[in-house]
Amino acid sequence: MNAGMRKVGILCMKDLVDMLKNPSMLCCLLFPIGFSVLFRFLTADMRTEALALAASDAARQQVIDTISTLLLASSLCMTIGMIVSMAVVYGIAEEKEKHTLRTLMLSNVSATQIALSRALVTLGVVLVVSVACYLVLAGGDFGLLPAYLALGLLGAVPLVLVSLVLGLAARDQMTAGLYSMPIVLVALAPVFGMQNEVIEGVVQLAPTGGMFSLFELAVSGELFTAQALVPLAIIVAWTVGGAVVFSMLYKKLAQDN
Amino acid sequence: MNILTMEGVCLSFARKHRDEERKQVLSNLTFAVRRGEAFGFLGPSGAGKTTTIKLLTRQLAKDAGRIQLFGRPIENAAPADYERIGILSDTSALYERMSIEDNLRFYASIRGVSPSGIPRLLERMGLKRDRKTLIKNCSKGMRQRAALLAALIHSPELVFLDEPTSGLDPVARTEVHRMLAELRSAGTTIFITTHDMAEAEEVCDRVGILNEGSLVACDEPDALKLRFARNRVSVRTRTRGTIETTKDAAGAPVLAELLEAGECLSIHSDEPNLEEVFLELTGREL
Repeated sequence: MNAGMRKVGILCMKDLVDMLKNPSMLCCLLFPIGFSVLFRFLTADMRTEALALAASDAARQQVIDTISTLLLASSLCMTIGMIVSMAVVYGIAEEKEKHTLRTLMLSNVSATQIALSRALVTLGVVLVVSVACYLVLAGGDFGLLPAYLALGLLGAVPLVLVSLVLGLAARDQMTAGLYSMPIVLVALAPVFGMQNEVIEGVVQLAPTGGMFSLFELAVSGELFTAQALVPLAIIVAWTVGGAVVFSMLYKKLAQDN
Repeated sequence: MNILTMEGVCLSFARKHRDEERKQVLSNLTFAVRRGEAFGFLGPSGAGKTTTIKLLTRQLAKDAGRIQLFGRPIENAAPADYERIGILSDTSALYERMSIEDNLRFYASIRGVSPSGIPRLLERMGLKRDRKTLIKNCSKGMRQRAALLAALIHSPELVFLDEPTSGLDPVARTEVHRMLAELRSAGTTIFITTHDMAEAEEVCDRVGILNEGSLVACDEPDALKLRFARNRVSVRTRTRGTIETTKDAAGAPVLAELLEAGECLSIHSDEPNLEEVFLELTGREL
């Protein structure tokens, strides 16, 4: 157990350093922060006008809640989509293309250890970037920060697992580019779902759909109610499914024929 | 005592089209590698050398036969068994955005060994000056040497080396041979595939010659050469030039006469080198 955890720790350090030394990866990590800055400026006037028009304190709070939900949840979806697709799908595909994955496997590193280190590093980076995005979008209001980070991590887990599968399935980085597109789109789906009730119903079933619904509940102070069970179940279902498919595909990959 | 054995191992691959027969890659492959020996696996390209290493390292699964590693069926090999193995394969690779030294430190940590020996290893392989060079900026020879060090960093009991000197210059090749000799004298078992017959003669205690998926010979290099020795002796004489005769009874009177006459300057038995043995067995160029 100790040797296993030691290997995971070493792999995490390697993955993190490798991620920070990769310029295209680094750009993708900074992308959500850049977008948050942009959206902050774009929505500043809209927010002021809406607050001025609001007739009561309750209406003002409604405006603040709506904009917060839209901006914060959207930034969370973008952070997860960009980072997970890049760090996991590209990361694994690059290891595969350059044969470092096989060299690791031949050095007695297990599927669980590789998956765990990728997942931990990706989740760690999601956490750091999410904090930065939150600071940009919410300013000094830290009320929603714990829920924002916790739900971000929860929502990222199923996508990390699905991305590990796609990374293993990708022959090379070119294919990874193609395979990572659905990850970004699926991650952003709840944002588009806000425009239409039918779409909203469908995207709630997406991996980040559960997270988005839970964040809406957190904003309205209903996170710890029975309403949270269905979105939570969706996240758990995606997590379990992703874990099963990943372990099956890794075993197949270890056999060369 | 054998450290690994293969008995009647067969392997076939599916063809691209379903109606075609499966391609037989290895048929009835049987050999054993003794603990502490350097075993050379020779064969022309496509003979199945790398495939055999993949079977022995569980990258591939056999169709039939038995493989034993450290006295256990390979199917029952524990993860700890793989801590006792070092592998340099045709796909061994290091991290391109890390330096040679950082890669070695990484693999030392993964293998749970102290990195204190890394400077000495780098010096041995002539990589000390380039230790901070990123792998992506290294030449093929430098990468190969670094990958070899990564495979040996945990002092494994058994090493699989798939053409370890391919792409190396003569100096680095000599250093690799010296390193392998040291490993062998330290008791490490070496399973090496190579195209270089001189390398096989220098490094290996025994060699197996593989042709089209079957082992056609397996013995010590000298024994193989003797087995294929020609029945011919060349005698350089003082006044009659070079005379060729046979080694058997038919040639005895000729040799006796030359010796009695004091004509002999030198007598050479005409034995083939390993490359000629290989060509005779496989009928193919390397």
